[in-house]
Amino acid sequence: MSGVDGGPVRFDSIELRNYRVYRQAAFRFPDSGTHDLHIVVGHGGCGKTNLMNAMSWCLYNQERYTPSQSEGLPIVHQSEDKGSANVSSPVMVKLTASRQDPNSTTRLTDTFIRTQTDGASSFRHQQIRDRELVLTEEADKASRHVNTLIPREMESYYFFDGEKIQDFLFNQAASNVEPALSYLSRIRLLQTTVDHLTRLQTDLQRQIGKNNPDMLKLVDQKDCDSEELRTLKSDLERQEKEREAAREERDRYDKLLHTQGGVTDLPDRQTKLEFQRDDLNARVKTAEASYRFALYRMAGHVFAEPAMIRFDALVSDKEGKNELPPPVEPSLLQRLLDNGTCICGRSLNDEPGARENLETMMQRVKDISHLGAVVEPIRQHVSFVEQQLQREPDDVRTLRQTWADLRRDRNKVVDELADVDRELQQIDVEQVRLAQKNRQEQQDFYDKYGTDIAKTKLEIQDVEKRLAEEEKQIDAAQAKQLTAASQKAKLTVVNSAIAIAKDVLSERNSMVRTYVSERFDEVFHQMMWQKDLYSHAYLDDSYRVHVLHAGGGEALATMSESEKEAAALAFILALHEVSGYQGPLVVDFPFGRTTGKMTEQIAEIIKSLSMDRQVILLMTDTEFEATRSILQPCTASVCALERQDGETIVEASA
Amino acid sequence: MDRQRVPDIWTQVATVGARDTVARDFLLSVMLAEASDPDQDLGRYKSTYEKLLEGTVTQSGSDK
Repeated sequence: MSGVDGGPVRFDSIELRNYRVYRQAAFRFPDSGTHDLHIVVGHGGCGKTNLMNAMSWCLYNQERYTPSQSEGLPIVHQSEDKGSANVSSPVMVKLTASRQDPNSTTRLTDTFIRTQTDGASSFRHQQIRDRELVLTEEADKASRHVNTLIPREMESYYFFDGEKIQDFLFNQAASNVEPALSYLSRIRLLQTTVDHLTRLQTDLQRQIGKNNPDMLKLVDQKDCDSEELRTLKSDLERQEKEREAAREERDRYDKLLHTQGGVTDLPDRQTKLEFQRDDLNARVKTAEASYRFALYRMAGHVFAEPAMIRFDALVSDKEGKNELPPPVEPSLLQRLLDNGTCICGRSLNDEPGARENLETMMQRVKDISHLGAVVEPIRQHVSFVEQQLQREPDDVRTLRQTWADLRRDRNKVVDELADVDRELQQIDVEQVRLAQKNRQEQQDFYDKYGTDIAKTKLEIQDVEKRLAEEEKQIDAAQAKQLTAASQKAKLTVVNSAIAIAKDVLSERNSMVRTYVSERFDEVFHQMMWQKDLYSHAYLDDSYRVHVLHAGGGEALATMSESEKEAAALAFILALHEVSGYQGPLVVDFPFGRTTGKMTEQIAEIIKSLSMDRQVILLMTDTEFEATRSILQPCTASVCALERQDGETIVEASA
Repeated sequence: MDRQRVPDIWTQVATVGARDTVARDFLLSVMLAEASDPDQDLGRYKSTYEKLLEGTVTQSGSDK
């Protein structure tokens, strides 16, 4: 395989002019000491990701990661005081890389310079051997040279975000690994060759079968199926690209939603909280009404009780003094009045005033009887009120508590709603809603393309089977055909060449996976601190990464963050080594997912990796402090980034 | 570290196709043409390959 036979490629320096946050900056990565480890440290927004982007922009004319705050902005440096881009200023990134010359003991130095002025860009490559300029290339040729050193297909395995490194382990990574390996191992070249030779084969078969309608029919059918196969393969490639694009878009929206206050569900939360608030308000009103009703009822009883007790006491007193006459049957008096005769037998008319007295008595008896009749119900009511008063304070207290609890819950929701409102005021709600909608759209696309891809793969299998059968039939028909010897000889050569190419393709496909698997397993076990926990790490037929527990079963999902990061690093290194394209590892935010002990474990791994390859770490101040004791003693260079007067300044220390 | 690299494609084709040297050489020459100018259009490919094939067959005939 062509590439870096002379040894790993390393970056010697990078110079930037008018590139995003940098007006003028230079980074030197000297190859000195035992470890080729370089640290660039700075707080958020200082230009660490910009530096990685500058490297990928220079080499591939594409920025590796575009932070949301830079998205859509021109690449040219913007001075903060002017607040506008210096569009007429040339943007320039000059990256110098070196490696051992495969043909001598000297080193080869390659300098890549990309510039952009007023939207027009240029790319140049110069190669120096023994201080002599030996090669100058422009544009496409210069790009091709980049691909012989650190191929674009491997870009994501040289420049990556430590926070996302684990993505290399999971399913979506498979769609990136396959094309990268296919390109690097020249499988793609062989596939294209087979494709073109098949066309040549068809032409020859058609020429040979000129006088044989059956054979021509078969050849036409095969040609038609070959075309269908090409279309299906191109569909598959397009679907895979579309799916990848949908995934990238989805991830971009995830990132956008994440940066919008770190909360993706603010609008939903707001709606939910508003509903809760309204519900609680209604419940508070009901609870208040219940409480007040119980309170007023109790108050009524409280006010009525003394009067009733006084009345009862009065009646009791009269009873005690025997002043309360027993109930008299009024009908008796009524009979006496009706008969006009007294009990003693005398006529009422004979005694002056007797009738009037009897009538007065009758009235009094009636009154007394009435009073006697009401005393008992009043006594019963007094007893009821007393019972109520014993119970009511508890009921009222409970209702008052319920009312207070509901008010507290409501106030909590109102406070939370106020927080959400405040957060929502700081972000663009419409943008979030739109991003959520778009994110879902991209997820739907991703799922749809997944289904399409599976369908297309099945169709490809069907057509391939059909084609194999047709080939056999054509061979049989051709054997009977009397044709010119030279045509037959040509077809024989082409047939054999296709057969060889297909054998190599099949062998190579499996070889590449096997080699990467073996190397991955080896490096993974070298890196792991708990080596006995995992039995095997490998790449399956669909280019998916697996790590198995010692006791069997998939381990990836349950591994710690640092173990996953180590596994991802092992996988990346396996790809570098098996492909033969060993470049530097440029890692942004290398300890993004780890803390404490895990950070130290990864720092130790990175330190040991830097003994035989270049590692450039773009770290935050916090990451630097957490790993300083492990990394700093063996670093070849440390550059600190500072923002001053609207631009990033680089302070280097050896 | 013992680094196992995938052998280069030319070596592998030579190994796999060792029994049919004519077809193998033809395949290698086509692959070289493909690798040296990957942006050729199909028409030019065909004429390039036809010429290579003609040359291969003629050469193999004269060898005999």
